[in-house]
Amino acid sequence: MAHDTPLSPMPPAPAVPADTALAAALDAAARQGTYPDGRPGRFLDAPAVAALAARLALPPRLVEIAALEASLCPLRYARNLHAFSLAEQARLLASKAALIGLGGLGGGIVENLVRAGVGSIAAADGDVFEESNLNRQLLSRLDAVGRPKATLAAERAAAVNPSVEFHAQAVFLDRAGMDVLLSGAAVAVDALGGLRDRPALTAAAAARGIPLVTAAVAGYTVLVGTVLPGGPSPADLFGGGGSGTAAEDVLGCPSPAVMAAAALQSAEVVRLLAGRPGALCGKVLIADLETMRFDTVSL
Amino acid sequence: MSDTVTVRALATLAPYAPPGGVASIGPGETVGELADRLGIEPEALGSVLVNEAPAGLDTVLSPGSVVSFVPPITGG
Repeated sequence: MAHDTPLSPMPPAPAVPADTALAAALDAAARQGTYPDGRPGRFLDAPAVAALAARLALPPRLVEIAALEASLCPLRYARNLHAFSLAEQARLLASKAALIGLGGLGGGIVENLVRAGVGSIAAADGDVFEESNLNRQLLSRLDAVGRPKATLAAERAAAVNPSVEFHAQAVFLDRAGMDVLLSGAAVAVDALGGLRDRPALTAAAAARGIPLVTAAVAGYTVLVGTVLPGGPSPADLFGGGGSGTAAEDVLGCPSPAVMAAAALQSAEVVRLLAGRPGALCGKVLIADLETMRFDTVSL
Repeated sequence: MSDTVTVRALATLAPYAPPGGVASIGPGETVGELADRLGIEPEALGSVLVNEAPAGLDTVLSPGSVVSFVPPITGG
């Protein structure tokens, strides 16, 4: 079955200097504490990560990976556990996601992936914020109308988690640009609206041999699915082939539905990046927030 | 008592749902015939699911089935 198909191997974690100086510095900077469930643990707070990164001339992401490998938990991830083990958290920090679109879906996905500690995120969106985005797009603000979505996304990522290496291009990517953006990524994320660019992104992810986590929203109806290379796509079934009126043109895209879609996509992306099997491979989750009914359909 | 199916009409198609979300069906009735009786135009449909599996307008309905009518949805 499609959803049992193994994913392509994850790239190895970047090399972290395994010298004793780093180990000693981490040990000295760690503080005793407790996890939310009461277990004792040793933690590294954000100022300690920044100071070690500066002193050792290492990216903070690599300091955090080294800490996790020494069973020291960066404090910011303490409440990611037990949702993820220390080893899975390190794997997230060593992983790369490629995200196309930084509007309604993309803004919510940035927020979730950055907080989860996905170590590298390559994103693109050539659009600027408009007043009509304010109803749902997390990165939009009244004082940011007219500014590039990519700029706001980069500012948000840096403000929330400077360990994440976040690169956003203020361009609308064509297929060739998508191919470049997806290079080295373990998962592609479709945060596009409409049907126009989705086939190119689906093809680009398939060419890279990586899963594509996709979503669409109309009114209070949400569709989320994961497309494996060469596998069926929700857009094939639910897109209407470009004929007929798209439901979102009638119903709009209210915030709760967009945020829910972004959260569901993010859960699937983080699961895949952590090395777990996807829950929606070859399927589509249909969430109707009007009736609060959730159904999963095999494509 | 006639045979019935459960109808879920999503998004823009919600107004076409029968009262109580239940529709009676005749022997051999197809998805397309039910859609027509409910007033759903074929061009308004993105897809149809029967018992949570993709179906076509010519799919024959069985009593007790759950039929979902979904319009084209592509927003983000």
